[in-house]
Amino acid sequence: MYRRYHIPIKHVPGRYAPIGKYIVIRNDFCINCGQCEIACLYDVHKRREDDPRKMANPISERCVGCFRCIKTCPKNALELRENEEYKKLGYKDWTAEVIKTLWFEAETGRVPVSGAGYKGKFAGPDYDSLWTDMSEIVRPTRDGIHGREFISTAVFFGPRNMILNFDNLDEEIDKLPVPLEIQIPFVLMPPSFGPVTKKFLKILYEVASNVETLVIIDYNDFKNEDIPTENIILRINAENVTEDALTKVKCIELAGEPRQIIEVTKSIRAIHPKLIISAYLPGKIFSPTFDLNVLLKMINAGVHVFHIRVNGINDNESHNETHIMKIIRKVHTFLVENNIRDAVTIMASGDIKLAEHVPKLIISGADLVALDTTLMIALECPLCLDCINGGLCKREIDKIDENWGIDRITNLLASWRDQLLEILGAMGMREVRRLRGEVGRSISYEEEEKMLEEYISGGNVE
Amino acid sequence: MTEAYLKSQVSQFKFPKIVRAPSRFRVMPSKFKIEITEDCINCGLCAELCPYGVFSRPKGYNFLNKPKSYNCIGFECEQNDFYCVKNCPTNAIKISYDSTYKLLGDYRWTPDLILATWIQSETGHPPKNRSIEYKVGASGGGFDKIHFKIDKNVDPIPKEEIDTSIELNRRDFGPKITIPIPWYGGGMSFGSISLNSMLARAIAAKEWNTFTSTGEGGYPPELVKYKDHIITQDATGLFGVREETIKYARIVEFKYAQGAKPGLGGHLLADKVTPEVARMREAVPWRSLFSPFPFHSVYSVEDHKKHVDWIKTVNPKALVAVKVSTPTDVDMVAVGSYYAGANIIHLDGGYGGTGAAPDIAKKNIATPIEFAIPKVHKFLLAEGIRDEIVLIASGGIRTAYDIAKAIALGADGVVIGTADLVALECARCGRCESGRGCPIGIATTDKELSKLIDPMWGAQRIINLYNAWREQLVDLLSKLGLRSIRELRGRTDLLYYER
Repeated sequence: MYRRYHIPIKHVPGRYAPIGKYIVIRNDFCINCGQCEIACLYDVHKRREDDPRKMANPISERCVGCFRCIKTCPKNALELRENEEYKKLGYKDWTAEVIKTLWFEAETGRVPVSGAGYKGKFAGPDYDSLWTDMSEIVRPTRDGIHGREFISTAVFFGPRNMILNFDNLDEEIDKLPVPLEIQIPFVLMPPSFGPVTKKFLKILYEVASNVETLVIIDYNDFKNEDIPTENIILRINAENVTEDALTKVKCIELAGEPRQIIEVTKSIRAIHPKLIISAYLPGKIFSPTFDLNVLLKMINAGVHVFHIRVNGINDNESHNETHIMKIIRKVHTFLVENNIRDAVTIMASGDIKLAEHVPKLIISGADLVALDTTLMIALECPLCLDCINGGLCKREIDKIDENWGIDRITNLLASWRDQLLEILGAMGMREVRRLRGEVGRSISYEEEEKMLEEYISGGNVE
Repeated sequence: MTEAYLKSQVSQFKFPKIVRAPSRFRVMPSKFKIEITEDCINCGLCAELCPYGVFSRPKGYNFLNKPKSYNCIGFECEQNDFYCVKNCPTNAIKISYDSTYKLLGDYRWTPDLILATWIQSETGHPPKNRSIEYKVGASGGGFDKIHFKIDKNVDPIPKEEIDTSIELNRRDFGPKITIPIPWYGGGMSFGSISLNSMLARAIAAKEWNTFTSTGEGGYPPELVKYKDHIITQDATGLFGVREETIKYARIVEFKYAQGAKPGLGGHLLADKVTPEVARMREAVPWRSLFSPFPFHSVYSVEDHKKHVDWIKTVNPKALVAVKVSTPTDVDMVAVGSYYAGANIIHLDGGYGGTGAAPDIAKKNIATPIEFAIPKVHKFLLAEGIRDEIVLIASGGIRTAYDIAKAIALGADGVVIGTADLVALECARCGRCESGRGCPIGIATTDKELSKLIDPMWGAQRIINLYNAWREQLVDLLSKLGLRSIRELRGRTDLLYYER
């Protein structure tokens, strides 16, 4: 029977008090007239319960910054400040705004919707230098998340047959493993920081099996824990691949030097032709001197997936000056030029902060992404990163309720999928696989700016 | 259309009266903070000296009034003889930057732009306070990086000879409509904003002999009085579009897409769908309304022509405006609309305003208007039809200078949305989607909150803002040596791009 793919959501409040953007300060000029209480729609200002003659301290986390109380106060007794605690949220370019957005998505599972136009900078580097296109009148369009049309977000994980040779059809197909179809282009993986406990891993594979995707689990964890083998990509160091790992799962991911990966892949392929093999390629490999032909050698040796990880948090080996979009684009273009793009799946991970980054990476040439840091943030991690220096988790993520964690992460994925659908609907696309490498359906800030500048300096158009 | 005809049209027009329309609230946020310390001996010297009205002492009283900080021009006053801080005999006056003020607005609408718009809406003239940057925002791109080259050698044109009118129909069919200012109001539906806010916009449009638009939420009967200045919008949800509402209008606008959410239909969340709104939209109360995207009867330019023909059958006298967003092939869309018989092509750029839109759409889909205008203008020129169709731009136009820049890039005129609301004291807190969350009473359908706006007061604020803008445009044209705003179109040689 036909089953329409859908991720159920529920409202899952956080365990900690919300952190507001503003601090409302009531200074000594206050005459307790209560005008602010009448003015505020968000109940920031209240009279004291024990002594109603006086105003209570403002409840700042409810403030939306509308300025109405400030404009109303007859004594100029109210001031607004930026909340220091809010500003401290996050880490480097994982700004407080990013963290708050992810918390909202994990709590509600909804697409963030707000009024008024875009408030940010005109454009910026990297992700912010790309706009996605839309369809209008002259091209067919799609209904998006509120419509009746179904837009597929399913992607393949694994190799596709490049050529079908009909003389020996059975044999050709037999040579390759069957690619897995996952319903969303997000694979889950534990981040390289924070309390990655047994419970956390359990949450990840529960979510993965609920929403029909995969989760990357390290072999050491796999060995020690009682983890089911479905929906698992087993991460193994290429140096110590053991036979028992290879027989239990459908996909493995090899970490190590490219040379090593090639050798190990060859030997594995000889014994386990049905195993999907992913190569873990951290950002530091992609130095300016890196020879992309190594990737071709990998494909020839039997690698089916490239997992390209750039600039993950607390992850020195994935560090690269070049932005992940550019690296993915380079690899994708190289493989297309060599007529071998469909033989592999490209999985991007690391610097993926917001839902909007997923379509942008897919446009750059990735098939899917692997999420890690965002999953930890969904569990209310503020990215304080004390854990890296051996500190205890301030947000006690090791003590969470398992179902709470499952629901939060499911919500996040549902919200991200819906946002991907918004983009696909606006572009008039019926499935996410069609978006891959569609640079022509994106708008580059650099190009547009150059055109505008030329237009302006060129003077009047004839 | 001859220049003489246009001049006669404009000379018949009586500019609306400018009446001071102060804020509804006691205190205006201000850039500078004036503090009087305990050292004050109430000598009253500051009240005598300050020409801006910061200090005052009621007659017969000993104590000074609370200083009106927002009148202060700030540290640039230092060079004046009457600088209060220096003159105060007991050094009791302190000026500092107000830290609360910095939290107003955002990159696109900076605190200065919001405050400047409020001042213009109050006084009807550009702000005199030079410390307020009222021309550009801080978004770091687009209009904020485009500036006018003012040549000092150009003889300024006398201001009274300058004409800011544009025509809205340049095809050889349909009635001729001229508006005295190169902008009209954008679509904001009943439901997304309150009826009082709609009325304020409609009255202002009538006074300025320009237009405002119904948006896609139907035509409230209270607006029928102003029907000659209201555009009926026919959007993808077709809410409240009926034969008579199309017959009311002198211009009917097809909304294909909206800049803030290109490729998605209109959003009206459940809390705003009161029984009144639901009745107007023929929908169920307290249920979210998501308009479809696109028109499910339009999948090609031919389908689009069919739509235009329907309107022309129902109301042969109406001009047809086509509001589209800005995909990469927006030039093709514009030409398609021309061949379908449209009079006005209205481009809504990606950074436009909205009552509710997914954040991912606001930021990431379709180009900002600055990139779309040149594309369409050039393409229409190349097709040889530029002078037959009116190109209107919108989406992130905040100031008179943005208007002039859009026109210099190739548009004929612009559409204003958010600025109208900032004139009504919107502070852009962005809670428009929430129904009962608009503290200013604009973007709400709640009966109590709607009462916060008095339509006549609101209309005066918008009228004042438009007047201040027109003054700036006239001033700019005079300095550029142009006699009319129509001469500015496509004059990119008067612009430079800041790297």
